Amino acid sequence: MRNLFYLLDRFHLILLLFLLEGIAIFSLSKHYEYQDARITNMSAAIAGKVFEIRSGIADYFRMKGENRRLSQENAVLLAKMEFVFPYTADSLLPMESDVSTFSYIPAKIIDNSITESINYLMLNKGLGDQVNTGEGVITSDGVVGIITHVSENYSLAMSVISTKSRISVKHKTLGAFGNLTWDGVDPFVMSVDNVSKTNPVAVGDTFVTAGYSNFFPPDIPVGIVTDIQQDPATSFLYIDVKLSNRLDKLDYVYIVQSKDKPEIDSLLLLRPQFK
Amino acid sequence: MSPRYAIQGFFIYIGLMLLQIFIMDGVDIVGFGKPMVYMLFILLVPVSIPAALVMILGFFTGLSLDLLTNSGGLHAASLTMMAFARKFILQIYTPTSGNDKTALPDIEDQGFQWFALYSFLLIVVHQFSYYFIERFSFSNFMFTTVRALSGIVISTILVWLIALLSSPVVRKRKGRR
Repeated sequence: MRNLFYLLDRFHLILLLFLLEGIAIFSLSKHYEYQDARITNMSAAIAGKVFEIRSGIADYFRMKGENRRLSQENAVLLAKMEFVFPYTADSLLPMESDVSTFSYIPAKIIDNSITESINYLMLNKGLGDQVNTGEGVITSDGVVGIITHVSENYSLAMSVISTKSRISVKHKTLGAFGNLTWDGVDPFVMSVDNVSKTNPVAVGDTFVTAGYSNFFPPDIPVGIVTDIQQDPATSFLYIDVKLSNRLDKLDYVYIVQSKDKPEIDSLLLLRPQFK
Repeated sequence: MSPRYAIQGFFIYIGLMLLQIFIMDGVDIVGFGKPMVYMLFILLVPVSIPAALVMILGFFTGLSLDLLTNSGGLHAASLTMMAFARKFILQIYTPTSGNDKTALPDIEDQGFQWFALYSFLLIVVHQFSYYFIERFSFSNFMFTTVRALSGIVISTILVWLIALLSSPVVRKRKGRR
């Protein structure tokens, strides 16, 4: 017994260190298990308020750039309006499947990170605004992320620059498909894999979303090819793309909702090999 | 702990938390570490406080920041580690005031030179534990190290600045002029 007290006295600091670090790392690992995490707890509610106040301060300094971006977007939209109905009265209308099934909810980013290995954005729209998990987040410039968690008034989106993120993309002109992934180093550069060597991809080409998974509508710009490497061992190219979105300078985004997504997802589940 | 220290400490805590959450966390230096200043609270705890108590203080300071910024237990883990290292740094690198039990490890009592190295060593411990716990692995070792090093540079400079600007020595000198 005396020995035990002696040990406790001698090593109490180390034991305390293990205890406290254990608690901290346990809560951190719980925090990282985002799949079943509910952000309706108190911490997220307080953090949401804190982020909103801070974002209010930061907003003031970014108004100029944001205004310029919005006016550019307006200009693009105005240009499109002239061609809203390019069909003459007696022409065949496009098939119903071509008609957009996407709708958009504008949201404001109240917290953003680009320096972690899995980055999250917090948006000021939640369940009350009909936002659900699994919906894509875009701007007019390109993809941003996918909603992973929703609380009453806020939602969390996993940014595309996350080591867990994986998005189907295609070459704009060649139509070659690939997967967009991130290695966790440069927050402005992502890589596209699974593009076959037979495709004459060149530096400066554009990749857009493929629209397969219905997270994002097709043909949203993703990025521009900056580097191509041939791997002699496989028949695929290693492609680096520079994101068309500056993910550190975002304020307003659109949450993409697809009317067909629930139906497509339930159909996918019926596929025998699909897990 | 005399009540004077407790009250003083409480205000330091509130001030540093506000500074960290509303200003420092809003700064994103692309690809580099985040500026962190909240560890100054643990740096300034009086020398006479037992190490175990300093560690518990560090844990709860970090945890409160984790709750406010929704970062799991990252700050709690790294600040506890720093509070643990503080005891050994203070043993090896004795404060200039010697065995004075009432001394604070700050610029006023120990001089800037002592405080500069003391805070630098502990920030090194804090930043390395922060970035490696964040990654949970030693893969991409160089990248994490670069981030930790840049975090050390930014945080050390900011901590020195805050300590200098809030130090009564500086304030007195200003008053005389």
